[in-house]
Amino acid sequence: MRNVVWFLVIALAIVHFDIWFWDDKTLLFGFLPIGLAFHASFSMACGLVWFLAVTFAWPKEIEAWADANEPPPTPATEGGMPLQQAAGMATDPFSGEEDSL
Amino acid sequence: MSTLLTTQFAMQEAVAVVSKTPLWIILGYLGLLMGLGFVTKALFRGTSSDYFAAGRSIGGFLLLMSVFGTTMTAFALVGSTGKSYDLGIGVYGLMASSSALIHSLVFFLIGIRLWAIGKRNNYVTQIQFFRDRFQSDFLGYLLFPVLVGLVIPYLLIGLLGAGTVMKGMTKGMFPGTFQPSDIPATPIDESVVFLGAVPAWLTGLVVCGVVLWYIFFGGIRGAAWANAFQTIIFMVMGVVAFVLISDSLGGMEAASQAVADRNPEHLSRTNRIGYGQFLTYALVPLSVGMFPHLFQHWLTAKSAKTFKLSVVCHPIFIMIVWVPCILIGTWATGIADFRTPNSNAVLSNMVAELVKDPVIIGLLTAGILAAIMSSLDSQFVCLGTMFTHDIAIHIAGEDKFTDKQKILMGRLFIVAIVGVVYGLTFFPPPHIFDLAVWCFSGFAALFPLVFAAIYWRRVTKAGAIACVLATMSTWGYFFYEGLINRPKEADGDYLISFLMSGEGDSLLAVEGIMPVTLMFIVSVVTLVGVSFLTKPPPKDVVDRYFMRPEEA
Repeated sequence: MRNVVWFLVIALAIVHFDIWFWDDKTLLFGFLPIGLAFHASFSMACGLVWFLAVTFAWPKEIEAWADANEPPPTPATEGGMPLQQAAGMATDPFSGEEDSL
Repeated sequence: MSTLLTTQFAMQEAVAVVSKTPLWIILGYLGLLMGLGFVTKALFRGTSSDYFAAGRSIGGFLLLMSVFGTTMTAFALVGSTGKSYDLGIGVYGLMASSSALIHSLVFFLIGIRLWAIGKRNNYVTQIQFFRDRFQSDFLGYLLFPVLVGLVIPYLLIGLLGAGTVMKGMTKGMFPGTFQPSDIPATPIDESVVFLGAVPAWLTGLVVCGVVLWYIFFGGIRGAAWANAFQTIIFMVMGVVAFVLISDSLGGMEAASQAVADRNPEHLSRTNRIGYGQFLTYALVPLSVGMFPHLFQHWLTAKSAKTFKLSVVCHPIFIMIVWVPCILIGTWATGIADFRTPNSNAVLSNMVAELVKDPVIIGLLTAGILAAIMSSLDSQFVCLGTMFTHDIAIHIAGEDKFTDKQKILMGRLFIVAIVGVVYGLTFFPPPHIFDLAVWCFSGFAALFPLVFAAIYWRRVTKAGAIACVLATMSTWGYFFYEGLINRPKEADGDYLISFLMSGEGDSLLAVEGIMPVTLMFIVSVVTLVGVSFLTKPPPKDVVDRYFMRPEEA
């Protein structure tokens, strides 16, 4: 089902480019331009497909992963970066042999 | 019917003292919002964590309303109506339906994963994430001005929209108080003097004051509650406005038929929107992946499940708000003698001239202001949070400030930004919609950065820095050429044309593409190219951001 959901998402991305209604000035129900009607329906279809996505393709493992560990030690900053490291970066933004320019 | 409409709009030229009831209703609404500030103050726990992250307690309903309310600014109501007045119904496909698909896609693929990463690492701001992910202080300092600089046009859109709407609604209310000389002559309204209208500078001042009031009391929780309240107001009032305007035009069929008679090209995209323009516009909604205020909501949401409602309902909400606006803007082209100083004033003119009940006019205007303020509040709080966490605390250290000092710093920075934005309202661009698209294009071009940060292990610090520098240079160039250096008389979107096949309606006959396309390409090429040219990041750092550790 997960594959079906992603197939539908890709299909929606393709049909969004609706060249078939490009020049059509037909008024549906006497008032709604057909190009607008198509894209309004497209929005509804998106809601439906995303409902299928959260029902059948929900990434449950992410919730488990988020809850698995307590946040790493944050001795000096809120961002999880040790103060010593942050202080080092403040003087030399490109410090660190592993990932230098 | 067209004779009746001709008379109605001819009469608007004669300025007379009109009922002040709409203004009292608007002031009552603003008072209500200030009262809401007191309510959220009671919920405020007094800590900086609660002020900036609401103690990670924002649930599904508040997340939906806050995210939707923040996304739908003057751009969605005032801008979309004006743009459809210029281009017709194709505007919905350009931005609304593509957003219906892409916004939820980004919430699903990026937002949920960022929530998990934010929870595991105790992040509050976007820059904290990028700084840690790439182990680069420099990247944080680089991103701060870039993100603040891109948010400023977003805030500007709101204030410009509020000023335009209030001028249109209050025209003639104060003929002896606000003389033409009190109203700054700007390119936006140079063709029409709003005699006796509340000037834009006063509206901007009041709107900023009210928003600052309730966010200073309640922080991000106050913003979220105000967002939820205001989103309901503007959605309901939008539908009411639509029904009343269509009734006034003789019904929906008569209104659309009048367009078919006078401006039939507005009912399709023929000669209005090109294939290349339409196709590449779809990149613009990717901007939600890099909006700092949305990022902050994602990082600090209560749980992953809170995203479900947003993912499903966001596309439907977009339709509820945008379809009426697009139709109102299109219908305006079917009205004989409908004159407007600029397309930004189409919505306010339609409401002011076609809805006769002053109480309803007041409520509708309050609804439009609600949409605008619901965008300003989250962004104000977010900017204050970024400055406090990513600049002040990061440089001085967590222990250097008390909670009260942190909150004070955040508030002072917000006031400074509001001052800058308020100053810019005196130099407005001609079209709100276009300014918004430029702002969104900048964020969209940075989308590859966040995508790579959470899905590509090989991306490096150098790649990320190069990506930001190259993308912003490209954005700056096109922004200058397309908005600042562009002749005033130039019409329509600024497009990049490089392929003219001359094959008529052939798909290859690209008449021009949106600048965001080139920005996006530059962003991806730089990010990927520089990452491959530099050493891979340390495995232990990267493993913190991926569910499954890389196999040896």
